[in-house]
Amino acid sequence: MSVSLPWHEAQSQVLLTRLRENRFPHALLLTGRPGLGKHVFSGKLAEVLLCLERHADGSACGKCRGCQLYRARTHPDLHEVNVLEDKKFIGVDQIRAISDYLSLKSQFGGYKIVIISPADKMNINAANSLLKTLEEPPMWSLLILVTAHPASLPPTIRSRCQQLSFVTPPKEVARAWLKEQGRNGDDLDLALGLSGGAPLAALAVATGDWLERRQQIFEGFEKVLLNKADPITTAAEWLKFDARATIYWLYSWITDMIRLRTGNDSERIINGDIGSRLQQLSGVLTPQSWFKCLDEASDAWRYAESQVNTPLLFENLLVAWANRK
Amino acid sequence: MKFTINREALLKPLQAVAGVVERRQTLPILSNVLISVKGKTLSMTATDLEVEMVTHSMLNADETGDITLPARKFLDICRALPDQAKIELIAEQERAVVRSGKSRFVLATLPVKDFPNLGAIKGAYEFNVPQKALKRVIERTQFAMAQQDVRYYLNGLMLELGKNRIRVVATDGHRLALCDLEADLTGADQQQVIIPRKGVVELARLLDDVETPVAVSLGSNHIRFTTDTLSFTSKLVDGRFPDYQHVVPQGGSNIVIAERDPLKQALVRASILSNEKYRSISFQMSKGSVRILARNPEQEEAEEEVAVDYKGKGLDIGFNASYMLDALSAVTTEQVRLSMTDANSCCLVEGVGDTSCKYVVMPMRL
Repeated sequence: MSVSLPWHEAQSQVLLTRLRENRFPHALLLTGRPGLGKHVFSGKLAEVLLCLERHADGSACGKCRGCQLYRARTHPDLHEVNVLEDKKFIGVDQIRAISDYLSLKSQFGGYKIVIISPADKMNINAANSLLKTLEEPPMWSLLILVTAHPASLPPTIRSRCQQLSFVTPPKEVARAWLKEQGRNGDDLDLALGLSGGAPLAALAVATGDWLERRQQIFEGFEKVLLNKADPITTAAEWLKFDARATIYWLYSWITDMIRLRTGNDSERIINGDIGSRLQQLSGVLTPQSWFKCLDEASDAWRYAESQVNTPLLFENLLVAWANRK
Repeated sequence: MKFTINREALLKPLQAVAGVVERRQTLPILSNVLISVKGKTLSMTATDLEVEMVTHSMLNADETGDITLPARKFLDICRALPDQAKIELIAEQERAVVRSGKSRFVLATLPVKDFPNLGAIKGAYEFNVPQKALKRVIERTQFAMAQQDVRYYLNGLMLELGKNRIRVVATDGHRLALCDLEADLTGADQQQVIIPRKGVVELARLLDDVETPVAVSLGSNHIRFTTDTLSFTSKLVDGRFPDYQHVVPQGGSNIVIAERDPLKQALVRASILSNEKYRSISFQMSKGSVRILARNPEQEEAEEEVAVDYKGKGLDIGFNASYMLDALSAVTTEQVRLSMTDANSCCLVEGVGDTSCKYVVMPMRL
């Protein structure tokens, strides 16, 4: 299989060997933090398996009918399941459609591929109705489950899949790839740091107005902690930002401040660009209090995934932090 | 591509293919119809990835070529144009222009090479059967197919090629229908395939009551039925049909021979007062007659007596009235034979003098 992204080499080799030895699994669970290109990998894998004239090195030919339809995203033997636009979860009807789809033979006589991404967005009913299919799929079926949070999948699902994990590539590889995408300059390291080393996420950080938004949120955060702004007003201002991204930033600043405050591994600071301001701010609370804040932020992260009242969530955090001394 | 065609000549095939297009589509291109002109043939293709329909008609085109355009909109336009109107279709880069008299429509198109049509079936076995006969066997068995059963191989019709006969079997686990059809199957391997429910229903609708043959090609993944004007392809179910032969009883000792219509009518009347959910009725057999009894939870009762030819011993057996009625309705002869062993074994229903079709109904314990 040709490598889709430079840091997928190992994973590609594993699957390619299994394909050659006719030991290909019926269900794969692709795991790893967001921004590592798991979804790109699943698509590439589908393309290779659906190619009718695969090259000897395992790459897709790009010319046959299979490749043509794959590229038009109309291949009849590929079925993708995502969260529908107006929904928060993958529902049971979408999973039942998979069973119906797999019960019929394939169009081209090869693999029937189903990609579920993100798999952790299946609600409990959906996950349960997938079990039967996952346990005994018809011949020539391949289910690819993509998730950044494998722990939130039921263990019954995890145990029925072969897990393939993706890890953060070395910094040089990531930097080289980002340069290939036309990104230059000093902000590459910062972008990589902010996205935990995940290149695709770093690219999004570097291209979007993330940094600007982060700056705005940070100023609010700083003022609230220094009692220069009203927590309720600040919470209301934050509503225009994505709740999960906001909480992620909060989490990363608090982690950095704990590192700065305790003096341990200060070289692992994520938000290097605002290091001095963080250093100053870290003096506001004791390390114990910062750890408490960290717990609250991580709880908030979990809540933000569910049906939560976002204004209340922000107010709750900020009021607690402003009053903690 | 450019051609002019009479509204009527376009409308009929277009309606046929548009029937396949589902209203809610996940892939935008599936709501399009593929129109292609090659030589003097105009063909139109639509698919929902489970079934595919292609129509062929004759045409004198100005320019050949292929195009895909929105099926439903194109059909609505053609339908709304006046009778005998001349319709002109011209393909321009990414648009299709439809003209008729003083009307002009521009439709969006999608690339032809993105359309997931099937093409020829590789390594298919081909044979012919009269349309009418095929339609009959499907109609006489399809009612017994399961609906959305988790045993997905029951949600369809099994087609078995044997020695110069095609056998069609459907079952939902409670009743079974089996019909044989004579056909010239030289060189065929013994094989079983399952046509999914959707394909069966669509096929029964398409076939006409005529003696002209329909060409069947059976591949490993698809089955295609071709008449002179259209060709219909369905994917096959990826599964094995259960061993139905064990289920068909080999002649019971207690045999009822009855006039079909009086028995059916009595059953219809009695079933009115049967349990609405389970539809249970009981048959009490004695020499020369069958008493049909039904009772519901409101303690209402129905009792019918039908004179039949019965020489066996007294027998009391329960059935689901709907299953029994379906079987009796599918029998075409005037007399019907019910063969039973005891109250716990299944009942075989056949037409007297017609061995081509068999129906098996499981009893109910009342």
